[in-house]
Amino acid sequence: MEDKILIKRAQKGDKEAYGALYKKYFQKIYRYCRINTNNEELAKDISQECFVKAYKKLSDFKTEGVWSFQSFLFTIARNMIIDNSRRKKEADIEDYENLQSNEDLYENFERNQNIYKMQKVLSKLDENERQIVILRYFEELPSQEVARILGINDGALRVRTFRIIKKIKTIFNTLYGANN
Amino acid sequence: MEQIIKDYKKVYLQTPIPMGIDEGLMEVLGRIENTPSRPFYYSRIFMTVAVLLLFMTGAASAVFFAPPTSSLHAVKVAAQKFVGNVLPTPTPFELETPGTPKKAEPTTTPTNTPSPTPEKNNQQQNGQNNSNRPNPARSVKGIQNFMLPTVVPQKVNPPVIQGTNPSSERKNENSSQGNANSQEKSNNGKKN
Repeated sequence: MEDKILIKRAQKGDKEAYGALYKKYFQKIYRYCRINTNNEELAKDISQECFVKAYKKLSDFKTEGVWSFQSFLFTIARNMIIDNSRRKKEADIEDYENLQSNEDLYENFERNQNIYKMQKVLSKLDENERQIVILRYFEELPSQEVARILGINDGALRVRTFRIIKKIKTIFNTLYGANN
Repeated sequence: MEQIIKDYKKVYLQTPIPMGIDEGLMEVLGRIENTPSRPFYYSRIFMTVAVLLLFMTGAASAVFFAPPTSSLHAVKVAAQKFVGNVLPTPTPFELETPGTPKKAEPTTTPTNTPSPTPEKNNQQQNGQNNSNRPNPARSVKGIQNFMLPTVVPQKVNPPVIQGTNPSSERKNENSSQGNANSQEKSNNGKKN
């Protein structure tokens, strides 16, 4: 069923419709939180709280507007991650190298040398650059939605994306040589 | 490099969820139901009323405590007329203008104290003289009225009794030579 219909039903208090939206987007939101928090429990809590918040704000959501429900959820999740990192000052977001030592979830990272390398490259990027890579290339969101989530305009996003690709190439070359 | 990114993306997209989706959904729906509704003090109506009340209280106190020189005082006077003298008018001093007809008072001694009658009556009595009255806050007399009366200690000389009061003798010693001579003369006169 289309998102708009589900949202309209959920706005009228239909919890089944909201449940359908939850099932559709939970995994996306969870993995986004997981990679940003680097903590399984925290990621679970934030992604669930994100859906609770989204439900409360659902009455304000305009189905005819430019925002898709997906970008609406990603924006809430991103804000919650930022709030959380500010509050706890753990700021694990910066340290992607820690992912390798993480329990069972990323055990296959250790096995795969390429993934380890990518983690290192991501750790060299700053917060906004990493968000662009995750949302644009891993989640494959359209550039307009990524721009909306990050609160920048489309042109700025294109410029930044171009710079990030260049930066990633440079990092790869310095870390692993030009043949990689 | 592209291969590396592809591999990473594959792993990223396969991130397992730590619990069943249905279980998580039940938890979320439970949280939604248990979340208390917004307290009243967050509501726009409450905030608007509270801000309005604060503003009105501030404005009222500004008018009430307005000094007579400020423009707000006119508002206060107008409000008092409207309410009917509910609010007391602070009259820190009254000036006596020359030529003002005074009421016959039971006391015979003329006093400079202001008459106990309210300002309204006083204004009626004074008639057009009030229009010529200077602004008390700006006049010198008005400023003097504000100042507390200074108490000047007066010298009280005790009665001089010959030979008994040592303090008078001491005074005499300290006094000038001329004074001493005159005292001797007077003493001699008394003896004679």
